Amino acid sequence: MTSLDGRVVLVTGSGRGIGRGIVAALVDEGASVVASVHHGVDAPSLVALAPGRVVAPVCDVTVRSEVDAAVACAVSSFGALDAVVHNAVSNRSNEITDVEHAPPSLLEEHTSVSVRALLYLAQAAHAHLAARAGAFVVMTSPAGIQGTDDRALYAAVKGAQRGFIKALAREWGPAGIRVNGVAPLAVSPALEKAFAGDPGLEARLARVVPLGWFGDPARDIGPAVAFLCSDAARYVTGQTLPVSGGRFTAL
Amino acid sequence: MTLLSGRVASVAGSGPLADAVTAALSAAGARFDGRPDVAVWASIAEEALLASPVVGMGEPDWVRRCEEPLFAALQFFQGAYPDLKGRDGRAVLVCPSVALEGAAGLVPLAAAAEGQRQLAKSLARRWGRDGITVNIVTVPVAALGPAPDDATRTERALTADPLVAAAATVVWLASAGAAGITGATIGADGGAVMAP
Repeated sequence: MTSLDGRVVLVTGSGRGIGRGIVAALVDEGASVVASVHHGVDAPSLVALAPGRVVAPVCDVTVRSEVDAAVACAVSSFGALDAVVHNAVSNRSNEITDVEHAPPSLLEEHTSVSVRALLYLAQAAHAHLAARAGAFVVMTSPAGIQGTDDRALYAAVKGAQRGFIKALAREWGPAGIRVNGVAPLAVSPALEKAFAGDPGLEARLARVVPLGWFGDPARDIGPAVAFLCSDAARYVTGQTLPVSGGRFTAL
Repeated sequence: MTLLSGRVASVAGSGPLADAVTAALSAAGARFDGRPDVAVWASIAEEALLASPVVGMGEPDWVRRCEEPLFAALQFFQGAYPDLKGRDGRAVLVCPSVALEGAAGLVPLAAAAEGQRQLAKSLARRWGRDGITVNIVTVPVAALGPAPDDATRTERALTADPLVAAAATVVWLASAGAAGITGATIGADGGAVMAP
């Protein structure tokens, strides 16, 4: 018996990196997972993580009908929905931003994936989560806690997610639905690419992490998400859990 | 000689909060004509305080309450930057304390305000090299207008008028004495939140 046996979780942005790690951790804990992907090419390897317990529909989270379809897919595939994990981010989230001159269209790009998709997901999932005392988890960022000088628009939408988490936890608490966030520091495809391009970068960055290394999506980040989806976290709501090797200690 | 003599201020917003901030800056000697070196965002629409549960909310309502304030704050600070740069500039964001603690019925406002607050912190990190400070002052929503019950349940240690306290804090942040403070959030909420 593992902590998510019989539970059904929808994870957005599952194709690679942290999203894929979350899916792997959830299926390890026994969950059935709707692992939504932006690109269909990522689907087969996700399904192979736990055949019969993973479906991987294509879903652009900026399109309400596709979000509705992903939620419906949980019910049609596995009969229920116990938790939602919003992990998808804009393809431009790692881009260094000249915020003084950034056009509204760039903020719109970030907002549509990180913020408006939360509205779609919350509205589509609410009745299902209320029926199962479910959980809503948002993958936010250390940038949404401390700000960041080179990606201010990303920090803004990640901050907006934290405001959303705190307020929705209070709004949905009476319905028994918990709302939490995770602020991860992990090796992502973008970071791996940066490490490859600059051999000293990993060591320089690791110096500011007390544990001295970067998290692995499946071993370090996914289990924190699984915890927040599980009954072990039944008294935790409205929180953002930094999973960052001690990078952030100011709370 | 007053605290802000020689300073030129610009205040975004209308209503009691912006009026209180403008009055306090003026009383401290700031002028409002010319190129500003103090830029204050004190714009919180009264409509934003109306309880609006997420379930059942229309998308246009969400965009207006949550996303447009983010865009507007970005554009305000972008517009202020050339004036603040290299001139001992001071930027202050005044935002509702639901950014810190959330409240049922105010999800879009909390998301907008916390987004603005993280934007301000990012600008603080970025603009330090330009000699600009960026700080945040939080006020309880109950001080801004009729607010949902859940936004008023946190007990305050002091009963002082939060708008007066917020305005006085803005003046201090714009003064010489606060030159070494940036990225800070100061609660002008009578000790309601006492953020960790």
